[in-house]
Formats: sequence, structure tokens, C-alpha cells
Amino acid sequence: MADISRLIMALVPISRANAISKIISTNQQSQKHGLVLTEKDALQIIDARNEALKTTGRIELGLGVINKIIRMFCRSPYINQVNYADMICELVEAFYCMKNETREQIGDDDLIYIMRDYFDNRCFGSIELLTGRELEKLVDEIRFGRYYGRLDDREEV
Amino acid sequence: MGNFLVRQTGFNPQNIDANDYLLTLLDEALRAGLISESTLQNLQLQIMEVLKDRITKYTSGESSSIPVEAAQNLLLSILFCMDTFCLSFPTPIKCLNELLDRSMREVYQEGLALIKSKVNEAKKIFKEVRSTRIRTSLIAYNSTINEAIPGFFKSYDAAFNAHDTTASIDYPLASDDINARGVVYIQQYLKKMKMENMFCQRFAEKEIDQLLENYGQVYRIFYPEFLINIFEIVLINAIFSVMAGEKATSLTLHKSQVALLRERLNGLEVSEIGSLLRSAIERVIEELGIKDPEMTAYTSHCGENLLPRLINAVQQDALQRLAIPVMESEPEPEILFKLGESMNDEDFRRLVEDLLVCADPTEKAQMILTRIRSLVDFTDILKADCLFGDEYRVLFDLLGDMELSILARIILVDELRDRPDEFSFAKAMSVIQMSDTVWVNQLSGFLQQLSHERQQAIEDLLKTETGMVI
Repeated sequence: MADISRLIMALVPISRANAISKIISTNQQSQKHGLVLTEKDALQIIDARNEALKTTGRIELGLGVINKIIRMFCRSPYINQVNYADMICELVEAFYCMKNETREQIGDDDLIYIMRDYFDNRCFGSIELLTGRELEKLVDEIRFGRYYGRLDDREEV
Repeated sequence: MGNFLVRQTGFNPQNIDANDYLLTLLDEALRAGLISESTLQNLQLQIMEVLKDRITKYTSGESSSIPVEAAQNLLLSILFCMDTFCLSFPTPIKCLNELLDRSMREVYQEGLALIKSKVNEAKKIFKEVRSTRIRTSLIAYNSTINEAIPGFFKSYDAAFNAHDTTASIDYPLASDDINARGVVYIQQYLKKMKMENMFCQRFAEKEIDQLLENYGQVYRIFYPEFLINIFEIVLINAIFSVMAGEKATSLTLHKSQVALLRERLNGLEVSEIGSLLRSAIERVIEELGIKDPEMTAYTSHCGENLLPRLINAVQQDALQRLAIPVMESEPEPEILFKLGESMNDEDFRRLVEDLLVCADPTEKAQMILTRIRSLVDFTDILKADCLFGDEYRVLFDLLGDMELSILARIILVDELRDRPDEFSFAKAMSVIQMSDTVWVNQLSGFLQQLSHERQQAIEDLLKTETGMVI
């Protein structure tokens, strides 16, 4: 069998310039909430995403998830310009970690929605609580068949 | 043009792995200069595009990331479909030309279509396997047909897991391609199983059953629970049967025949054993009327696989573990007298009348032995005054040690009861008193003139429980 991992890795590289411009494009929306990402921030987020994918043993097609996370969380009252880039980095890492822990049972959009809901309403801006206590509860809900998905479509991701 | 290229560039089809066809073909084509590095990269990128499509379908568009293992699995599935497409071409060069003319997406789609048609073909073959199945108590054979194969068809996922062969197939074939994967594996498995079934159909079910029983006895196993191949065991005995000058359809080999074969093979060179084996296989195929080329090839192949084992068995003097002989169990002493088989009165009277009119002692004795089955009837006949003089001796002469010991027990009942530990047959006979009953005197006279060995055998039987309940 040929080494297929080399083929798999061909999926991962994304042109950095392209990636940066895509992330920067979210400023259009986040500016309304007083939040802006610089090119340096964008690079930091891309690196965090690549590292998180490596750590969690996942591969991703495109950068869609980062932009979805940014668009969802730029509306959170617990994020401000000072912690914006760092928080997005941590949320991206938390996302892939939760993706693994929930064993692919929750789609990207639903998971991002849940994360935002818990982050704002249960964890009051604490990513530690989100990836600790709340993730554990969510995993239990899935395991014991008590997770019924998003019951409404209040907010588009 | 293809052949020209091969000669010019040193393209070596031997470097292509049939189980990793596409990627090794492309590597070899690059090495031989038939494609450029950029062409290879382009093809690889196209394959990755196909993978992206599959990932999106796999997650139903709900997830943009998946675990690496899942991606690798999807890629293996894609490559398996593409390999199936490639293998549909007669030569690697023709395949390469086709690959360069098409997009990888097309190649994948066509491969997937081929896989799906193979699933349908395999289902058809499975029907034939079921209709030709061997009636046997071999658990692995039955569970493979009843559960494993239907389970495979139920769970096989050509779209995302085409290369997977998850099925609990326990029954081993005589010759299996363990490198094949997915439905390709199942298809070859079923084709071979069908041929094995059809081969075995040429033999009587009872013969096969008996052969397997013998096999179990030779290897001291309860054969239904073991992973053995019926076809191979049948084929081997058919081959040896032919070598022993019997018909191929006769699976029964006696120990004496195996011994003769051993002697015959012992004196041969390895090459001579090989040609003897090949000609025996040919005869088996001919005698069994196997005409189908695939089945002929399979039978020959499996038969020839026997050669190293045959040579080894000859050298190790263990031919009886390869050519399974009939296992004659220790002959059960045939007891003339049986419980509960007394004649009815009318039959008994008729026998007495027949004995009285018959003058030939041997004929009278045969009459008694063929018509009487119980000890009670036997002693009643002895008491019925229908035997005279030497006729008793002729009758007793036809009895075995077991029957004589049973009769002796009747006349020595006191000695056996009083001094069982010190009982000596010779001593007891020497002191036996004359009786008023004719047959008792005749019997003791007969027993006394027996050889020492027979007397000893009867004494041994008298000291055991045998015959006591009769």
C-alpha cells in the first residue's frame, strides 16, 4: 500500500495569503460590534487552527469553520477588542476538541451555536468552563440519548 | 504503441502492485518517464478533489473536518474503486492511457459503478453457492453461508467503505486470495466456494460424511467444530483413491491401501512423486467429468498444492494423516445372544420341528445360530432334545469365546459365586460333576478339550462383568 498519508496531507495546506484575506473579510461584520482583526491576528488564528487540527488528529477542507466561529462570537458580550484574537484562537481549539469528544454527532453549525449559547449563558465567557464542565455534560447528553439537536433556528451561524 | 513505449522506457509492469494498482502504476510511469512530475501532481490533486467530495457527502455537508483516520479510510475506499476501474483494462499501459484521457472524478465514478455491479454479481454467485451447498455438520461452513455472507451484503458500503471486507467468514477455502479486499474478495471467495461445492456434489453425501468422521478420528478432533476445508479433504482422498487404482468417486481408503501407497511412494524420487500426483489429478478431473476450465484449473491448482505435504508425509512416514483411511474401531465382540430378543412360541416350535427333521449337524448348528438371538432361547433349544451326540460339538465349535463364557457361567455358577477371587477355569472344569442334563455334560466335555489359550480367554471373560447381565 502506498503511503496515503502524504496524499492526505496535500489536503491541508491552504494558501496563507488567501486564508488571511478570508479572515480579514469578517471585519466587515465584527466592526459593528467594535471588533477588528489585523493580518497578524489572522496569522495567529490560522496557526492556532493548524495546531489544533494536528493535536486533535483531524483534517479540514477549507477555512469555513474559522469564519463561522468569528461571525458567531463577535456578537458575544464577553469578547472585546483586547481579547478578541486570543479568544477566537481558544474557541477554534475548543471547537475541534469538542468535535472529537462529541464523536461527530453534532454538525459544525449546531456545535458553534451551542458553544456560543453555553459560553454566554452558562459559562459567562469562560472557555475553561466551556471545554470542561459544559462539554462533559454535552457528551453525557449524547451518550445517554438526551441530546435532541438544536430545537430552534433562532440565529444563523 | 504501448509495447513500444515499454521497450523504450523500461516501464516494468512487475513493479505494479495489483492491490495498490493506481498509485503504483503512476509511480512506475513516472519512474519510466511516461508521465511528468507535474502530471502526477495534477492527478493527485484531482484525487484529493474526489476525496473532498466524499468527505462532504460523508458528513452530509454538516462538518468541514473529520478525523484523519476517517479521511484515510475514505481515501482507501476511493483508491479501491479507482483500482477496480484500472484492473478492467488488459494491460497497465492501456490503463495509463485511459487515465490520462479522463478526469479522476470519472475514473472514480466508473470504478464505483463496477463495484456495485460486482456486488450484484456476487449476490448471484451466492445464490448458486446456496443451491449447491454441502449438507454437513461443519459449523464454520454452515455459519459462513447462513450468517457471514448475508451479513456482508447487508453491511457492505460501496460509497464510503468499498475496500472493507468486514465479515466473520470462518470457513477456509482450499485456495484463498487473502490480499483481495471488499466485494472483490467476497466475489472470488464465493466463486471458489461454488466450485468446491460443485466438486463435492460429485460424491455421495454419505461418503463425504464418513470421510470427515474418519478425518476427525485420525486427528482426534470433533471435526464439526474445526476450521477445515471439505473440498480439500475430499480432493485428497479422491487423488489417493485413483493412485490406489480405485475410482475417483470412491473416498474410502483402507489402511492396507494406504500402506501399499506408502510403500509405492517411498521408493520414488521427488520428481516422480510430482508427476504421479499430477497424473492422478488429471484422472480425478477426467473421471469426475469436470469440463469447466475455471473449475479444472482450480482443482489442478489445489491438487498440486498438495505436493509439498505429500513429500513431507512420505518422508515422515505419515501418509495416513494425509490420505485419510477408514478408521476401523476396535472390533466390538459380536455377541450372539442379546437381551429381549426371545422368539415367540410358534417360531420356537417351528425351529424344533425343523431341527428334528434335519440330519446334517452343521446345517442344524447354522439353523440355531441364524434363528436364535437370545440366551434363553439358546438354552431352551439345548434342553429340547433336538441335538444328538456330536451335533453339540459342531454347534459349540461355531461359538466364540464370549458365547462359550456365557454358557460356561451357567454351569460354573456355584464356583464363580463362592470363590470369585480364586476362580480358575481349568481347575473348575477338572472337578465338575457329571450332570443329569445332556447339554451340560456335552458343554463341559467340549470346554475341557479346548486349547489352553482359549480356556484362558474364557476365564478372563468369566472374571469380568461381560455377559453377566445376559
